Amino acid sequence: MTSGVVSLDARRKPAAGRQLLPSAVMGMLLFVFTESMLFAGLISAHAVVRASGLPWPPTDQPRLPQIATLLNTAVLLFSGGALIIARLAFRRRPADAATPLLVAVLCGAAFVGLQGREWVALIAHGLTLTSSSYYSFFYVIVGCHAVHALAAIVTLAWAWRRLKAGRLTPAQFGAVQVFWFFVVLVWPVIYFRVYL
Amino acid sequence: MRPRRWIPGIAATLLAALPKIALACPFCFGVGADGKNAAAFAATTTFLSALPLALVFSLVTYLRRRAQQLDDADSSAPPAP
Repeated sequence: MTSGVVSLDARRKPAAGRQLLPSAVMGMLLFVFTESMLFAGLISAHAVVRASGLPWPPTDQPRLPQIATLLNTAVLLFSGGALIIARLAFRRRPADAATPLLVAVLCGAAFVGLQGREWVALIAHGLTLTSSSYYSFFYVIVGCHAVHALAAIVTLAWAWRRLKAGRLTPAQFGAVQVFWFFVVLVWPVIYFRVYL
Repeated sequence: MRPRRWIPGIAATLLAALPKIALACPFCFGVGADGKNAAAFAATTTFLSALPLALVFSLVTYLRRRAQQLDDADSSAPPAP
């Protein structure tokens, strides 16, 4: 009887030695939660001002480029897809994840580059942060997303370099994925609220 | 425990002393305010209140499921020597 009890206990690991989520992933999740609230606040402010009866967009100012940005959105979503492929490949054999991860980095960089081009064109037309509420919200919300996208691309590139060197751990890769998936998933919401 | 008789009286007094709506919110009651604007306020307030709860709830649910998976894996593993 006694030996049976002992063997059952021996099977269990002590709870303190167990980790439900790697610390890096948990830390990134908490960061992403706070950033979600930042974007939720910005989008909510945009929704309230938009519903206040002002002409939206202002009658004397052009609309934002919807089609070009839709294509750019597809590039970003493709980047997210490439990261999913990299994730699956990493589970099988880490070295196989290098190519899809590089594709994700390049697509992300293309997204930010095309957004930058759009900004340059708008500023060349004299549309700046102070032109109207419409453009104030556009520059603040899209700019905030661009800063996050840039930071996430840097972390993706860092992960790719570590992967190539054979030093990328699953926890590090998980944290980087959480950040990039956040950047990818928050963008369609911004597109539908700000551009359409 | 017997309910005290003066509690309903106090409650009624407090309710009677509650302030009326001040009509001070420029979005809800200001010039040009319409139902659309108040609806946007209500919707975004609900959204901002629910989002953190949803995030925390989903994380806790995920951690519970993960703990359950680890427990199941432990119980199905062969006993340690």
